Amino acid sequence: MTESDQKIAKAVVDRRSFFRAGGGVAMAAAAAVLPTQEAEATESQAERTKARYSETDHVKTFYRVNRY
Amino acid sequence: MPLDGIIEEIDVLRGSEYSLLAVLLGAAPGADLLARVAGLRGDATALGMAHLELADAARAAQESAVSREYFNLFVGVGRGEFLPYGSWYQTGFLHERPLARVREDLDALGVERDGPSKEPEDHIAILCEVMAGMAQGRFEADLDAQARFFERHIEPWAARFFADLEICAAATFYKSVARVGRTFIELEAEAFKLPR
Repeated sequence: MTESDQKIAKAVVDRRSFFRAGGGVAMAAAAAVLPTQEAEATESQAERTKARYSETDHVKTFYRVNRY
Repeated sequence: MPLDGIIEEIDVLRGSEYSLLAVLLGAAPGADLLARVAGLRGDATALGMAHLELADAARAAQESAVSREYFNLFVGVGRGEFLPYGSWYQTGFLHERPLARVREDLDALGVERDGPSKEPEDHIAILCEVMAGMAQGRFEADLDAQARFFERHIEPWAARFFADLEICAAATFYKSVARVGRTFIELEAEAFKLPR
């Protein structure tokens, strides 16, 4: 290997051992927690913009009474 | 990715840790995610201990209580108790130069938003998601680019944010999230200082 390759290899090993000592096992636990699928939005765009107004009895009464 | 573009196992794991933080800080976790976080394992390292505390907190937590806690901490009426944005922590205002710098770097990375969210990109959850993507090779970024992104957009303020969140009285579940965040960010900061 060339000298720069050796330097890089050493750096990689340093990082690897640093993380292993500092919490590599712990991080593996985090990997197990997450679903392999990306998190989906809890509310789709359609859900967000759907029509919610409905003429219930309460609303109809309000309109009727407003005309008095 | 130091050698031959091979993604080190440790970088995949770093990405998972970032993803975990992103998912918990980006939205209130549902019952399903809480159950999975309750299964988080740890060891005797600082990060491992923080994981165990988070698992305990998740086990003891109710979805509705956590939802309310998330709302009070990060959404609120007008604003939450915390504004987890780089601009806020670094300048005292939102939508400031730090946000512009993040957008610049995201442009350079070729990363853009997918979805209807209008959240400023200097939100801690978004920054963690970007770090996860870079670590796991989903975004083209070698270790130097990752280090630059971290040092530019996360290191100046994220540890402080997590420390604040950790001591906040209104945080119970998120106190443990903050402890994981602070421990991991400190680990990352040290790791990026290692000779490359």
